[in-house]
Amino acid sequence: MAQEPKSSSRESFLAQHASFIEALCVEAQCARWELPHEKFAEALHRSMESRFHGAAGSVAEIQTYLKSLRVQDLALACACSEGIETAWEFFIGSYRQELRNASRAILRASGSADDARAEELADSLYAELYGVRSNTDARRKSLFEYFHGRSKLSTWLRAVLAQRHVDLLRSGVKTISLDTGRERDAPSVQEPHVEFTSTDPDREKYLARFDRALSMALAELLPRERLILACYYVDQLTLAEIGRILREHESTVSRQMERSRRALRENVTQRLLHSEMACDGGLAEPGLSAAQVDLAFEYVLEDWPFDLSRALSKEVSGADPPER
Amino acid sequence: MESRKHEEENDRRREEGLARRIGEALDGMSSSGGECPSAEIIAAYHERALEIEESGRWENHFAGCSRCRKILAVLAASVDAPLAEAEVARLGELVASADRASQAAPSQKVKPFQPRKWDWRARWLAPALGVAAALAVWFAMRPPWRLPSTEPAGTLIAQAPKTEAPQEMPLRSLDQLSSAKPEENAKAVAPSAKNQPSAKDLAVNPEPALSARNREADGNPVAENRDNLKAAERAITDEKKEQNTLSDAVPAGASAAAPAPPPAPATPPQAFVKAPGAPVPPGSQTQAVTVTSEAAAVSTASRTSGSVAASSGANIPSTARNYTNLSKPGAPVGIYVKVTAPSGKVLWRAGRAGKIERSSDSGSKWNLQESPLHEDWLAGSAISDKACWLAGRNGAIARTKNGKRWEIIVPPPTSANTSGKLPDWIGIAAADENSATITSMDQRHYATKDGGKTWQGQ
Repeated sequence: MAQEPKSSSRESFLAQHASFIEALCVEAQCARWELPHEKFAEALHRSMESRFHGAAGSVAEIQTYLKSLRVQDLALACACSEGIETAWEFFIGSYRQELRNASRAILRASGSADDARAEELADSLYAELYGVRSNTDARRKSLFEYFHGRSKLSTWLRAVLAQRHVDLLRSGVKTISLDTGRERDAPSVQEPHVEFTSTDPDREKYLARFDRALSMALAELLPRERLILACYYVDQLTLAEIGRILREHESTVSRQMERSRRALRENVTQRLLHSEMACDGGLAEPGLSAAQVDLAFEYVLEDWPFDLSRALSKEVSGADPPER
Repeated sequence: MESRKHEEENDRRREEGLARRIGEALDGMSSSGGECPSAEIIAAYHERALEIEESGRWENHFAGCSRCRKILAVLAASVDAPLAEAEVARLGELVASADRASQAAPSQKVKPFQPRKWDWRARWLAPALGVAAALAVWFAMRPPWRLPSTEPAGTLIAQAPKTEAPQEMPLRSLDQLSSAKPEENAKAVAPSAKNQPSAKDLAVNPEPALSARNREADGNPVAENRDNLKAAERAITDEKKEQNTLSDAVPAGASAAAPAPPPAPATPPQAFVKAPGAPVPPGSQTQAVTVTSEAAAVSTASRTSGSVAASSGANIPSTARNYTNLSKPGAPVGIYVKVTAPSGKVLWRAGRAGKIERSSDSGSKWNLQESPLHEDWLAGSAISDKACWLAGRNGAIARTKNGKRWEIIVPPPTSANTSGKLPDWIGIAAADENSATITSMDQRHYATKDGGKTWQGQ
């Protein structure tokens, strides 16, 4: 049943963009791999579906999206998925060494300099790239079918390798001892754990209010700003590493983080100074005085914010790697 | 001061407090991130291939998902391509072999380096021979040095009859000049014009005409002379091809209504005149200045008045050696500057001995204009079809507002040297009728905004 709407949407897609698809076939050099145009058109349709998620996009939007694809890489991936030998030979010759280099880099970044393991990691992809037949489906399903041309084929392969490596690490984290996990997840400010007893009965209230204000202030930041802060404060990455993730210079990341911290500080201060709506529908809490705000910040400085058990429970209950 | 320090300290402590809470607060937002993206999305995000809205959506997820952040970090790290162990080993072998080679070398007795005398000579011999050869060619191609002559420079287009000495002949009016016929003008050549070489002669036997002063001022590199020779030869070739007589040719030395300073003696021509770009004021409507090279130009070394008297050249007989130049219309001989107005239809060209010509049909026909000075014009700038500035030797600056009548613009007094000599202006850029910037040969700039009444050094 589910096939009917898909095939009809594919047919309508092919009919609506026939000439455009033909032009893309030429640009993609499908003839080089002797890739049938219908197969390439199906790959384009899959890519379009993954982008628009079934929502009807206008002809212009769809064609703009299709124009942005790496059609030559898509044609190669499609040809490899179809088992065309010339495409496979070209792929092995062109990408094998790059995959091994990427694997080596990934493992070295994780502290492992084993070239044999790197080759093993890289070569492990080939079987899945070629395709395996499931018990229920006689058709060979290749990993290449998940490539939709939105990036370079080499980048996609590296992303797949990175996903596998991280998932492998995360699955091994659950068996790591508490001490190791604590070291890895410890906040940047290393202070001894101190049982603090305060004589101020409102201390916990101040801390709770502070946390709420901080959460709301964080929500008002741009996603990119939050991402930078998360990479820095949660993942303990350096500015250079964050810059490489975001493809920006380290100084740019530094400036952005400074701006975000300043904005957070001002936002949190203002929220503490002003009254706060009660979450449970009760009376609104009045704003704190300037002295009380200072006190709240002092309590935050004094307080050991890290809850080890809570952090570990989150780590263990982290979601399993989703399907590709 | 104290309060500011206290505030800064306060801010620092607050940020430190925030830093302790941010990580946990961000972790608390992770549940809203949604499902993790596929490798396709991660790869596209890494390449910045996602649309802005889509990228922001996924960044929102990444901010709350440590797994995806880890994948992004690993993907970024995978760009590096570290060498394989075998490659590292190979590099090590290469380094070791290089070390062994360097260690083995000192075992041989190394003699202290003693440069051989003939090596030292040989090092300088080649360039010296090259310079000598170039000088020999230069001397061979140019006529012998001339003594400065008191007679005015020869006219370029001399058509009207000339019966008196050049220094006594005033510049003709525009009407007279335009109506002069080549046949009539052929006889009217200043006696001194006989001594003026034609462009052909100059091309064949270029005068080593530069005075010492000019040489110092210009540098007069050999290469420039070579270029001048080529340009002059091209001019000769063009002249031979053109058979039209000057219908509107007029003697360049026509009398002027304004009193002209006493003419300077005809001095050896200068090989090349440059008009490098002067600084262009913002919003300037300056047009491109084209300088055509001239094999022979007038040197100012021995002038007393700072201007070059223009002889009409009307007395040049048809058998005179420079007749071919004079009889060829549109010949660029003696032209140093060509200025195009913004419309493209009106052009001015100016050059030796104060010659100014204007064309209103994109250069098909040229009308000689009455020049207020007899100096060589070296640079120009046209603002419109009617407004144009010219600058030249010995502080010469002129301007026309109506496209016909040229007026002298007094140069900046401070530009004169200790002996009172005004510089040669090699560049001018005009923004409007009253605003212009001039550049001297030694790269000094002066600007005026009131039509030359006052000047400011730049």
